[in-house]
Amino acid sequence: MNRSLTIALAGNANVGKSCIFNKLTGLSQVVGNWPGKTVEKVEGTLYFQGYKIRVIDLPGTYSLSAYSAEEVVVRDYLLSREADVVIDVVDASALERNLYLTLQLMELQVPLVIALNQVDMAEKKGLIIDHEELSRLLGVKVIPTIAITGKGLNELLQAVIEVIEKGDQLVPKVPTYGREVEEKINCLEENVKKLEISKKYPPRWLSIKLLERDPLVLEIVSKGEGGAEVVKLADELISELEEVHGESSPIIMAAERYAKIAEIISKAQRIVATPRVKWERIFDYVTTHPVLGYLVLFSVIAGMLSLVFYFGGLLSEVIESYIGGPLIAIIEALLQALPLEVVNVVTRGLVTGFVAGFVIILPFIIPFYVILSILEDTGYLPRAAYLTDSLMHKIGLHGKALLPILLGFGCNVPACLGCRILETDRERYLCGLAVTFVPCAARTVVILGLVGMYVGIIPALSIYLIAFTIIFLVTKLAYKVVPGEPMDLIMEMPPYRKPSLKVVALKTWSKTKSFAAVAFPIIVAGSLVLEMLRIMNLMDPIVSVMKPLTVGLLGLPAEAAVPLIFGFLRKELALIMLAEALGTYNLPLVMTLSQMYVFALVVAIYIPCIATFAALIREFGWNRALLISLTTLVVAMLAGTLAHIALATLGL
Amino acid sequence: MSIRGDVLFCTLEVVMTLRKRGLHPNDSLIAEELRIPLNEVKQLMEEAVKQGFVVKKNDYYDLTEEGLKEVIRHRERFIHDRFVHGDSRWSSGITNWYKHWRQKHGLTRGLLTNFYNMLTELEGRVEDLKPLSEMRPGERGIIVSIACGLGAARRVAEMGLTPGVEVLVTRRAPLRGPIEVEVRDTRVVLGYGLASKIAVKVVRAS
Repeated sequence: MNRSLTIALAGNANVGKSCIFNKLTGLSQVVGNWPGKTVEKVEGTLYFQGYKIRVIDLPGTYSLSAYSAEEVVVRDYLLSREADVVIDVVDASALERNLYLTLQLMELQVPLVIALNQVDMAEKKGLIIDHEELSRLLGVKVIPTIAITGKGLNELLQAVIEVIEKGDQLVPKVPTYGREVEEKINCLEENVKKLEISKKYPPRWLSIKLLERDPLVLEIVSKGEGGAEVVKLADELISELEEVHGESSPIIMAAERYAKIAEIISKAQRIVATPRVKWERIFDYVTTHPVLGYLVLFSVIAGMLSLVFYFGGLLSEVIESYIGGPLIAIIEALLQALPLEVVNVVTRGLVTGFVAGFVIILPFIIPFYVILSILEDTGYLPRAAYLTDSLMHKIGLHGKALLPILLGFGCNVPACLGCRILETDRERYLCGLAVTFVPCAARTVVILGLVGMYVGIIPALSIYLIAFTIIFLVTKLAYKVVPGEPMDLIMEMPPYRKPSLKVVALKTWSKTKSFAAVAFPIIVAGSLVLEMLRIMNLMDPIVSVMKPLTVGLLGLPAEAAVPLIFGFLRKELALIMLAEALGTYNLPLVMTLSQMYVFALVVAIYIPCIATFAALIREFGWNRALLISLTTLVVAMLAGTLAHIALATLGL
Repeated sequence: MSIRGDVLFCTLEVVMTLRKRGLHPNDSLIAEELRIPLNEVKQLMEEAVKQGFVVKKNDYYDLTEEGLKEVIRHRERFIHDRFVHGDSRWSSGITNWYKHWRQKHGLTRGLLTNFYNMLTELEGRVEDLKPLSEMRPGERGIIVSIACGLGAARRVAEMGLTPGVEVLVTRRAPLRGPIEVEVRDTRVVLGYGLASKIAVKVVRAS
């Protein structure tokens, strides 16, 4: 019989953690979200020596403060004590910075085993690490590994089983810091121990976090009985500490940890040679060069967009003709057999939605995930962010937001999913808001097909200009309104690495699966509702209800309400539906030029489409998705009304 | 404040530094330190004596209490304008600096006590401190202080940029782009705004 075990993988970003995870679990992995958070939860299962082992791949973090959503997730998970063992994946080639997280895991007193990864890279850098000495200093097992080749992974699992069975070397040493800081920690710990909460969390850890002014710990401690006094005491101790050190307490604690690490490193690491120049250096030089770097960036972006859209388009066509077409034919045949009106409507709605999801969404999502994984795994993304940071700052975002914004020009769906590469919740939200205003390919169809064709190319371009201005203004405003501390760019610049195709494929597969699970029901349900409205002849009442808006504010023909609503389903169809609603394809006969302009403008701005809405829900939850969508609607109405008034005043 | 007033502060700082080193600052020593002509120094020092910032003792100058206050005020204004706000905005109109740091920048009493100690102890001119954002690739510096919001400061320190650590600027992106530094065996990229709030003392290449 199998015994069950849960292990969690923790570690910095870019240390090969997800590579280890993929090697361990293969196709068994499931991607989801952590409850209530827009942080990816990845888990898988493996069998080893009669154990059924559940592996949780925790998001990559540098620390366990409450800086990003990821850090909070990792911390909460570790505090829940669900994992029997935590494997800390440490990059041997950057031991000093990596041990920072290790030290915090030790503070938490979780059962720990260390995977000293990329020992080959470290050797190339001239760093020799005595893993036995390191193990002795930290009080836990340290296993050297090379994730990309799978070397050491068996030993790693072996070590995990060993500590589980023997129960020794499970809990690491308690790291101790400088005398002054220790005095404060001990003083606080005495008082924290009296609190109810210390039964749930390690009191020493709570004390350290209080001294660091950790906002979440401050909150939970002050809520409990007697907590207020302890927080007050912590405040006093912090003042004393700050008076001596002259820095704010979070900085003092970080410095203390690094001092401890320096002590460990001096005993366990030897430097034998200076780093050698190799292909990595050349790549690095070219891709961050003030001239060449931008050329490379431009090619990468152009390549990426065309790949996503060329392959996406191709895939989309193939799927439509081989799957969509036959499917619809089968349904049509079925409908003949089922004369019932209601069943007819339901089936048609369901099928339209399903086919739309399959044909439009998946073909673009798959190449997107492939490219994103490659860019992430090689280490190109930080370089792109480095080059574009000053540009993105103009709209209150930073370099990492470039990729999602650019993707938005193709399709808002991958763009929304791409917001995840930003770190803090606040930045993601701002980026998501900006992204939904970017005119995607479908909106371009309407702008060019209507305004470009009948009014002129300059007016068409002016719609883009208005869209950009809106992005600028909305983001600037949101930057001020959205709560939280604005964060400037701060990131690690990892060395370039060869991507593993297997890992890329695994990542793409599991992410696509998880996206489809969230998006499909929403798309299908939305299509169903709209189809029912259409077939049950509910359109006329809607047209008259919308009249004050469409005719009154925007000065459009009343029938324009129909394509505006259906645009929510598929924006590129808005044009065809407009023609159908007005009863003619010769649009200049029934619409003035300024009406066309206003129509295209509104379509270009208001809520992307149902698929984007689904992506927004997945990334930001219902509340924020609705808020973002509502914002786009209001802004679109506002811009349309203003344009209508302006054009009327000008007598156009 | 006139430009002349600013130069006057510099002479006061030089007098203070030279006294700290146990030297007896006279006109020629000050001229050497400031790299300006001797007759100009004479004029400046006359002005300083007239305003009561320095007194002449036999053959050298010493700061008066008022002069010391003036130096501290100059230094805190420099740090305020240069590092906290990151631009050359003239912080005129602030009369009570202590209150300003407490209320507008949220510095605790403990931090402020230490801040003023640091200002008094600082050797050399406060202008020797540079924001990290102004360092050129290849330059080395020691982090002196991190003057940004609590969350950002924590993050900066966690990435390895703690006070006292030496960093090497490896490159910077054009147009006020980010700055890349090598610290603790890794490379870290900081946005321009963030880097301008980190004060660094440049290490001269040996």
